[in-house]
Amino acid sequence: MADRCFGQAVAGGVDLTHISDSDIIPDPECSEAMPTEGLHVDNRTKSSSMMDQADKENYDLPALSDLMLEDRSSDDNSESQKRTGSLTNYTSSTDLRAPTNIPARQHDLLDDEEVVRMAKEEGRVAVVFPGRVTQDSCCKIVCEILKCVLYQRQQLPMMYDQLVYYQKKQQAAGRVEDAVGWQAARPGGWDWRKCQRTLQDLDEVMLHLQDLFSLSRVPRVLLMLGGSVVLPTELYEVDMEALAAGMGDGFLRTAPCLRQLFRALFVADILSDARPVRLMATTVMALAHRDCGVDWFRPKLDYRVPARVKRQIISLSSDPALSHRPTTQAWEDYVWFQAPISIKGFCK
Amino acid sequence: MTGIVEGDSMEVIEDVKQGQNNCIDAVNIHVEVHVKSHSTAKREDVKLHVLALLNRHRIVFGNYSWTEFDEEFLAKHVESVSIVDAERQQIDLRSCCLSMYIFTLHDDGPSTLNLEEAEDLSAAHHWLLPSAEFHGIWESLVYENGVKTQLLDYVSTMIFFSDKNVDSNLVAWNRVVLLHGPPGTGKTSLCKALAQKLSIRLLNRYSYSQFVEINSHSLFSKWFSESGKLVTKMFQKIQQLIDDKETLVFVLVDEVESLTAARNAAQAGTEPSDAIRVVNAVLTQLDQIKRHSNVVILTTSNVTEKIDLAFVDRADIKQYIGPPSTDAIFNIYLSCLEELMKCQIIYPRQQLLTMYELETMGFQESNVSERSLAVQKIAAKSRGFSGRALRKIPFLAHALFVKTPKVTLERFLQAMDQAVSQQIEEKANLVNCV
Repeated sequence: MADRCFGQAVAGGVDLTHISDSDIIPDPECSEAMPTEGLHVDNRTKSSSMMDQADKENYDLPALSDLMLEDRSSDDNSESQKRTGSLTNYTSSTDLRAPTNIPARQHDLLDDEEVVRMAKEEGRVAVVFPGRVTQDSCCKIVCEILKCVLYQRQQLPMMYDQLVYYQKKQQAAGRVEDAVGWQAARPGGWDWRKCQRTLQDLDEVMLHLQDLFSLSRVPRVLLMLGGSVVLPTELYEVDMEALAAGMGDGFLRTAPCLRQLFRALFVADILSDARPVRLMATTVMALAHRDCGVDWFRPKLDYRVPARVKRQIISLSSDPALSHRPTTQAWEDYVWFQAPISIKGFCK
Repeated sequence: MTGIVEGDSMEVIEDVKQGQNNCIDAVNIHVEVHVKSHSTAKREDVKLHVLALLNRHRIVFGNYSWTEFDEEFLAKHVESVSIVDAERQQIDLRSCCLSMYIFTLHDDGPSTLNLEEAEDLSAAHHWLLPSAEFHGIWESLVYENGVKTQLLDYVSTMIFFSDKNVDSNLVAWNRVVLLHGPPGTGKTSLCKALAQKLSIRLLNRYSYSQFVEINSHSLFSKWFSESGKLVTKMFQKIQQLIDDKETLVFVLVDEVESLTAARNAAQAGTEPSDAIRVVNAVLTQLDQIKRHSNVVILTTSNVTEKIDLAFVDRADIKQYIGPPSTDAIFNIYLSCLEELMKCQIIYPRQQLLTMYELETMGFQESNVSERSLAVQKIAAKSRGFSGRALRKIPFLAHALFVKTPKVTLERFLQAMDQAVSQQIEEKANLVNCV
C-alpha cells in the first residue's frame, strides 16, 4: 500500500520536474526548492505511513500538496473527501487508480482538457490549492504572475530573473568602462538605461504590493496592458476571493503552489500569442480594504472593472472543504487601488 | 440625514434635472465637493459632513468656496467645497435645492489611442475626467452674455432628451458643438473646461467621463485613398469607448477645418480627391455616432468659411467666441493679480473690487476703489487683445518693467500699463512690416 502510494508520488514527481524544466519559473524560491525534492519523497513515504495512523489533521502539507498536484483532476467532491474523509476513503481512491498508471494519466489528460476548455470558453484558469496560503505567498504568487505576464506578452525581452542577472553583470562591467562615455550604455544593441528603468519600476510596484498585502487582504488584482484603465488592450485578473489566506502556521509553502499554478497556466496556454505585440505600459490595480492605510497606491473609489474588454481570469482558491467562500457583503468595504506608476515595456 | 440638517426645506437632490422637477420654485444651487485623491472615505460620510458645514454657514453671497476646515474629517478628506454658478445675490441655503457633486480628480496624464497601422503616431489623446489637468480652467475663462451657461445648458438638455427617449427622428439634435473665432480666445480651453464641468455635473448619471482629443493630422495617410479608412478606424476606436453605456465620451476635434475642408474647393482642383473622401468619412461617421446617447462632439475652428457646409449644418450650436470685452478683460486681470498676490510676488496684499462692486459704487473715485479703477483703465486700454495675449501681460510686466522679487500693487499696475502700451506698439509694427 505504501509502495503504491510511493510509486504514484514519483509519477507526480516526474510530471513536476518536467514542468520545472520547461523553464516557466526561474523563481529563486523554486531553485531553492529543488534540492529538497528528495526530501519530499522521504516525506511522502513517511506521510503515507502516518496516514495509517489516520492522523489527518497533522499531515505534512507540502508533501500532500505534491500528491494533490497529480490528483488535481478529481472534482471538488472527491478532493474534499480526501482531505476531510477518513483514511479508508483515501485508500479506496488510490486503489481505484493504482493498478496501472494509465488510468491516472488519462484522468490527468482529461483534466488538462478541462483546463484548456475553460481557458478557451470562459477565459478562466482555475487553480485549487490543497490548503491555506499565507498573505506573503499570495503576494509572491501575484508578483510571479506579473513577471510571467510581462515576459509572455513580450514586454520584457527575457525572463525577469535573467534580466536582473544580466543587468547586474552589465553594471559590474559598466563601472569599469564608465569613462568611455555614454556609448557604452548600449553594448550588444541593448538599451540598458531603458532596461534599468523598467526593472526599477517593476521592483517598486512589487515592493509596494508586498506592503499592500501586509496591510490588507487583497481579493483581486488586475494587470492591465496598454490603453487606459477604462479600456485596456489586455486585461488579466487574479481572483483570490476564495483563497483561504492568513498568517501563522499550517499553511502551504509557496514553491509547490507556484508550481501548481504555472503548470495550470502552461496547460491552459492563455498567455502565448504568435502575433507580435507592441510595447505597452502595464498598470497594476488591486482591491484592498478602504481603511488599510496604504499610501503609495491611489484609491479609485468609483472604478469598475471594464466589462467590454476580453479578460483572462486566473482564479486561485483553496479547497472549499477548508474554507467557506466569503459572501459578497464581506467585500463591500474593499475598494480599488491603482499603482501610481506603470511599467513600460521594452525590447532590445 | 434630516436629523443633521435642520430646516426641512434643505434637501439634497442627486441630479440636476431631477432637481428641476422636484422643486420648481426653489433656486437650484450646485455644490461641488472636491475630495482629496488619497481619501478613501465613503461618499455618504463626506456628504453628511459637507451638509453639516453648509448648515453652519447658511447665508452665502454668490459663488463661494471653502478650502480650510475646522472639522477634522473635512480637513483630512476634502480639498474644497464650492458653491458654483450661482446668481450674484444673497443666497439662503435653507430655501434652496442643493445639488451636491462629490468628485476626485484623476491625476494621471493623457494616454494615447493608437491606430494599428500608424506605428508610433498617436491618433488621439485620451483623458479620464474629471482630470487634474483641466481643473480650474472653467473658472479662469471669462466670457460675456452667459456663453458658458448656454453651452452647459445645451449639453444638459441633450442628455435630458436622450434620457427621456425623445425620438431623434422627430426632434433632431446632432451632438455637435462648433466653437469658432479668432485665435487665442480660449476655444480649445472652453471645450476642455466644458467637458470637465459636465463630467462633474453628471457624476450621478455617468460613473466616468472620458475626453478624446483627435490629432486630425494623424488621420491623413501617405497612401492614396487610405485617409478615409483611417478616419473610419479612429471612429471605431471611439465607438469602443461609447459602447460602455456607463461613460460619457467627449470627442474634441481641434481645428476641424483640416478634417472638413470644403468639398467645393476640391472641384476647383486645388484639393486632392483623397481629402474629399476624408470629409465624406467624417460626415458619415458623425451620423453613425449621433445615435448614441452618451457622446458629445466638440469642434473648434479659426477659419469657418473653409469648413464644409454639410458639417456646419450638422453643428447644433455654432458659438462665436470673440475677443474679450472690457469687463471680461477686467476680470482676467483681476484673477491674474489675485494669483500674484497669493504667490506673494505682489506684496502687501490689497483688496481689489470686482466689476459688480464697482458698478454698485457708480465708479466713484475713493480710497477703496482707486486701485480697481486703475485696473479698469488698463483693461479699457487693452481692448482688442486676445485672451491668450491678456494672460501674459502680467508676466511681461514683471519681466520687462519690475525686475524685483517683491513689488507693491501700485508699482505693478504701472508696469502693466507700460506692458500694454508696448504690446500695442509691437502689434502696430507688425502690421507696418506687412
